[in-house]
Amino acid sequence: MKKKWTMFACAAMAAVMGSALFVSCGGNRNYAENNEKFYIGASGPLTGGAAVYGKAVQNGAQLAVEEINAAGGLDGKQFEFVMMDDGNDDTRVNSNYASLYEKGMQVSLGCVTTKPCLAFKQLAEEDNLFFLTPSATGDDVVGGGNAYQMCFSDSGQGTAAAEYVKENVTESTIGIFYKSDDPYSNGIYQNFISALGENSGFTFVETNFTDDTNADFSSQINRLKDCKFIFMPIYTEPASLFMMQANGIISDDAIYFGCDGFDGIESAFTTTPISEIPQEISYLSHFDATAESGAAKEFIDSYTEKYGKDTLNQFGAAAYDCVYAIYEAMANAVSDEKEIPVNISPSDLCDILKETFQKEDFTFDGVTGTGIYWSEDGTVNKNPVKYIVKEKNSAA
Amino acid sequence: MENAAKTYFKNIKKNFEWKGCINYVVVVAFAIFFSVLHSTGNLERSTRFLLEKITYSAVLAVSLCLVVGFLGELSLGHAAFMCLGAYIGGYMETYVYASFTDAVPLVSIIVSMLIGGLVAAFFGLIIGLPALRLKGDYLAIVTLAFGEIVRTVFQNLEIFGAELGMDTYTKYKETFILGFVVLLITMFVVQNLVRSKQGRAIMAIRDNEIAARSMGINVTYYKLMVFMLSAFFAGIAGVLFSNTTRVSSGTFGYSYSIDILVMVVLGGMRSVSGVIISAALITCINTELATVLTGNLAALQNVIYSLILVGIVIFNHAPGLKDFRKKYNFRTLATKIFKKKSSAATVSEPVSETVGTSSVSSAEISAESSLPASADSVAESPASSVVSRESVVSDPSVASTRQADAVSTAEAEEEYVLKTENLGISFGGLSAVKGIDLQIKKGELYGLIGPNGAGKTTVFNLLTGVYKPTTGDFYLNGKKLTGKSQMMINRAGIARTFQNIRIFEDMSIIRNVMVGLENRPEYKCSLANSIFRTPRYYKTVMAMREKAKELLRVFGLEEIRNQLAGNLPYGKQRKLEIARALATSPSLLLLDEPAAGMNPNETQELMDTIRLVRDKFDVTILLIEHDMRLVSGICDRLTVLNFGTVLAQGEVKEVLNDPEVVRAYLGGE
Amino acid sequence: MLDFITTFINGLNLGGIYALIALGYTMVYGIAKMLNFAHGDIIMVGGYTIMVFFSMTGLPVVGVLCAIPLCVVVGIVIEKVAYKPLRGASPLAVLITAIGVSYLLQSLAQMIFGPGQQMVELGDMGTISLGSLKIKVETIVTLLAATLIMVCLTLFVHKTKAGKAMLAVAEDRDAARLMGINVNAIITLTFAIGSALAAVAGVFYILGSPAVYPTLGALPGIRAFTAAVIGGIGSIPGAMVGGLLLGIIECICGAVPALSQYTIAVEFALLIVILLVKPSGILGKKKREKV
Repeated sequence: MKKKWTMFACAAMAAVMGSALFVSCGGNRNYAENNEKFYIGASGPLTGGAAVYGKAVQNGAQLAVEEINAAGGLDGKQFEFVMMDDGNDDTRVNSNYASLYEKGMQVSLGCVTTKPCLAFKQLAEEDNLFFLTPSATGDDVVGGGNAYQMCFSDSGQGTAAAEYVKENVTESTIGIFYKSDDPYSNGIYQNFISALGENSGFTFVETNFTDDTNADFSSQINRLKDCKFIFMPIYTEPASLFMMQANGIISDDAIYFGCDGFDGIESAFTTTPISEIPQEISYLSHFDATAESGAAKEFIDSYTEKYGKDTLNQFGAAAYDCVYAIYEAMANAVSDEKEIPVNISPSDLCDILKETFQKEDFTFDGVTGTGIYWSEDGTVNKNPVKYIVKEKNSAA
Repeated sequence: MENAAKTYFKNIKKNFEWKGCINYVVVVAFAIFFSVLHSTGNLERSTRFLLEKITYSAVLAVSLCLVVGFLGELSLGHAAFMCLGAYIGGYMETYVYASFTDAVPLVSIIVSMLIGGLVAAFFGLIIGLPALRLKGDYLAIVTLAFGEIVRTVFQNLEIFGAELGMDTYTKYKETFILGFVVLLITMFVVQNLVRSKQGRAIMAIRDNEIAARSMGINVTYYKLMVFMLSAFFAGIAGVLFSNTTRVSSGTFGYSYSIDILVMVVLGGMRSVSGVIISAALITCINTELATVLTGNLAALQNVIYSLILVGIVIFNHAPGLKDFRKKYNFRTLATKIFKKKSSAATVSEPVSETVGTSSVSSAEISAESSLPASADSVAESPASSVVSRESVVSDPSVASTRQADAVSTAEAEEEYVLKTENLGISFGGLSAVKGIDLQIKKGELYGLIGPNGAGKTTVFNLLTGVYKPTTGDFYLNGKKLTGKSQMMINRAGIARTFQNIRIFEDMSIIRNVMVGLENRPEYKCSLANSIFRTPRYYKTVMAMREKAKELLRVFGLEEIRNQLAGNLPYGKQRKLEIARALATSPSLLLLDEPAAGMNPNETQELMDTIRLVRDKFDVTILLIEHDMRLVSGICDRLTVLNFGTVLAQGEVKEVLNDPEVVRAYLGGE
Repeated sequence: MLDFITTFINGLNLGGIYALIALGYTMVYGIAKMLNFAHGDIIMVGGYTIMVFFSMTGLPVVGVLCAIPLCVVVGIVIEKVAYKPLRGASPLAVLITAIGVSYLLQSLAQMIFGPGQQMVELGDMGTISLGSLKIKVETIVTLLAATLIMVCLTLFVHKTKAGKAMLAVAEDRDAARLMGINVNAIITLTFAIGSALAAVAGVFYILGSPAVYPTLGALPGIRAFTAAVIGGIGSIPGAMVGGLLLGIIECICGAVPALSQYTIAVEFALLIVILLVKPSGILGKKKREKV
């Protein structure tokens, strides 16, 4: 009998002691009430295959925050930026979100990639938290009223690419190479096709690959070998692999055309220089990492000075713009007699930002575009530009 | 009525395993603690998310533990069941009856869990089917393949959002409490199952499937049942998952299945409590480390996990480390710390699982001259079995004459327990055994002798359904058993022992015998009875225990019935195997070289035992032997096999003096 | 038609690589009686070795020559440290350990080199044109190498003393031991040869797809196992047949748009069907379990 009670007591003690690990006080309240600075939070891949993008966002945002603070902040109130790692895994978002929120996050850059951002959005909606994502392009990322994009949505890119093709491509057959298990790639591809419509006059040779078939593209290359214009809404790694494998099979006259995923493709060619690829490589985007003038150049200089060239891409530029856009919106609201104390609750701040972003005359000039304005659903309006990474090699 | 209730509670009290209750208490304590925190508004959201994760991970780990630890099969596609539950349950909850969910979220979630669980269980059945035919490595790959197929399919289904996945209803704040409840239910079902007669049967299958089949255990039923049950709980875990975060196929790949496997192995594959602790710990550690480790260091945690995984498996299973394990396992260490009565630390009945090691208690090791169990490995040597398949058939006419003599002397009117007609089997065109005509009378002690490779064990295998004969038939008590399964044959009344002793070494002696009682209709007890520990369950188990004790008494093993069978000396192991075979109430008992590896004393004892068995249990015995003293000492009649056919048949003296037999087998003058 | 031939040839290229990996798999399985899950990851080790030495010296040959011995060493070390202690233990334990080793290799690579792809451009061997049919030279080289190795392996196993000893150990370990064969040495030799084959496979793999990353070997490893099973596990020509078949099937799936995203599902479905219908594979022998 004694033995049993001893065991009970031990068990109960163990339970209580173990639980003590979790004890914290709090509840549903304004976690920002003790903030000394405006807290901008974000979740992105700092580890894993997409880490280069997460790092770029982290750096770009950090750069913007430091510049703003150095210039005096918002009426003397400073900003801070924290990014938590989600490894591009949407199951890690909710603990990141909760953690950031409990540390006093008042506004956010959301997530860097689409899938995690969808999870983020669910939580942000519940809390009425405002977020402006630099790079989560999924169409469903926006639409909740508090979710905004600095980047083109997938359909936006698909449409823009379709526009470009309609106006500039003379071939009648267009090749397509996309990643079917990637929402980004698949999304753009779908929108590209539907934007071109039924009677575009184009025929398509459509090929795709998945994570499981991401090494050998010989079948797809073989099917595309006669195409002179190949639309590739994919990221740099598989793109560079494709181009190297296709060398000698796909005509040297062909054009490889991508979307913002092509950004930084030169650095994907580590042992062979990109110049060995005979074809022309260009893409549609909102940031040119080789710009020679303007806001882009200034950003490139500051960024390179602080972080080097490895993570210099449009993700960083967009993040930089996001922070500035939020700052300018807050400044705009303050000039309209709105109160924004440093410990404002996330929800109150969200209402103010929503109102400001929706103002008729609110536009933003940044590194990734000028005269940027946002629609009611949170999608961005700006002009995409085509950037040529490398021209076609002259006949050797 | 009152009396029945009294007995029931007395039974519960008597059998109650206090040790098994601690984990319930701890889990309930945690659940209450956090629920209280939550209801007073003091539970942080991040903590709530963590608890949700811990509870569904624990449920997953326990469900996998059932397959890997208790059935002994490696399933690498477990995440697929979770995937099914998450998608289907989540979809129903969020899209099919959305308004119902908004109105009464708790009920909706429970309904969705049942739906998700049942769908997953159905697929568990599907994956169980190949499990019936495939072993170990192949099965592991098939489960992996299955997991990938499921994931790929969901990745491409538009209705579920394709690669983007789908948003699911996550607004129910008390999901973690539901998680605790589900965990408790899972623990209840799994632990009760494992510590029941069905659990013993499952572990028998794990430890020695061939022996299990030969005892009439319905292996098909148990394997399928385990796969379905484990998939059911994994599916429910998936629905819980869908209530914490959105669902996308990328989560449920091979690496997630490995993560769950790591939890199971680290927790000690056969310990439900260990597995739960491990799941909770790993989840917490991962969450903490995720914030600390950046860049490439994030992989460090996986490096450590894999090292620990390999280390633990080697520690627990390396044969060379057996002595090391005996010295340094949890039980002996705990004994030293708490200074409990350690002398003959018996395996108490029922056995409770320890964390980590396969329990090796310090039971007595007999001083009797005993040969290690592997001494008989020389028997059934490969060369001989090759010979038996490629043998040249000896002159058929001579053999049949001798057979004709044998038949004419046997009284045709008497009922034969066993009758075979032209029984034979060929492997790929080469006949291993041919033209076997046996007639064994009730109560006879019949010997089957012959040189190595003559096909004696093959005959046994034919008679027990391990092989299906290619020619001929055999009848037990007039009933035709040709082509029947091992299970049906055992139920009809044939039991056997094996050349290499096949007792269940990790079970206690009495448990070994109780497994033998498993298929007897008088001890039938449904799964539900076992899980819910109804009065009928206790009645059945106690009756089984009594019967087992009775059997063991006959063989002088009753005193030590709670010791591990693996610790018995060789001679006693053989007796145990016979006792276990007798538990299946056979009419015909086949003993395959029972005296192999025994010294003259043991052999004498065995002879007495065999006679006793025949007399006391009213059973006919057919035995294969090489020891001529034993054969001439107890057998009534003999059949001599050579090169797969009958060389001679008849009374012992006659046969042993037959010049042909002497020449072929016994050695001439 | 032309498309189909090209797809077929691509399939032979890929299949040749799978055959090389499958040969190693099937050898280890037949002789050591275990599924070496980490076999595919040896390819990855080979790949990184090539990358490291190539970027150090700029010479692909150096990389290749260093990769093979290094992989052999890694294979032997794994066998001695992780698998040997478990000889005689339950197959479940061995399987889990193999998975653990695989996981370990992948995580180590990720820790040291990072999770992303690193390009290893070994150079192009050129393309031959037969009319409008373009065949890459490396395809021919891969096939030749695979065939040559298969022939050498078969000769080795049937004609040399060590090879015959391997057959004996595969047939019955205890009998082989009783015959005086040093079973430990044979098993170590098996792992050595298997790892060397994996390294060679890695070279060809990178030739075709010039990127290394930590999970490089996982999928090819599983696919090679599928190939080995389809062809008949334990059979050398079976590994060849299975590998080629699987490569062709994979390329055909890749070429059909609707099927492309289900490629891996198709390959696995094929594996399941074969295991259920003819578990001994196309060229395998049926084995009976001795009771």
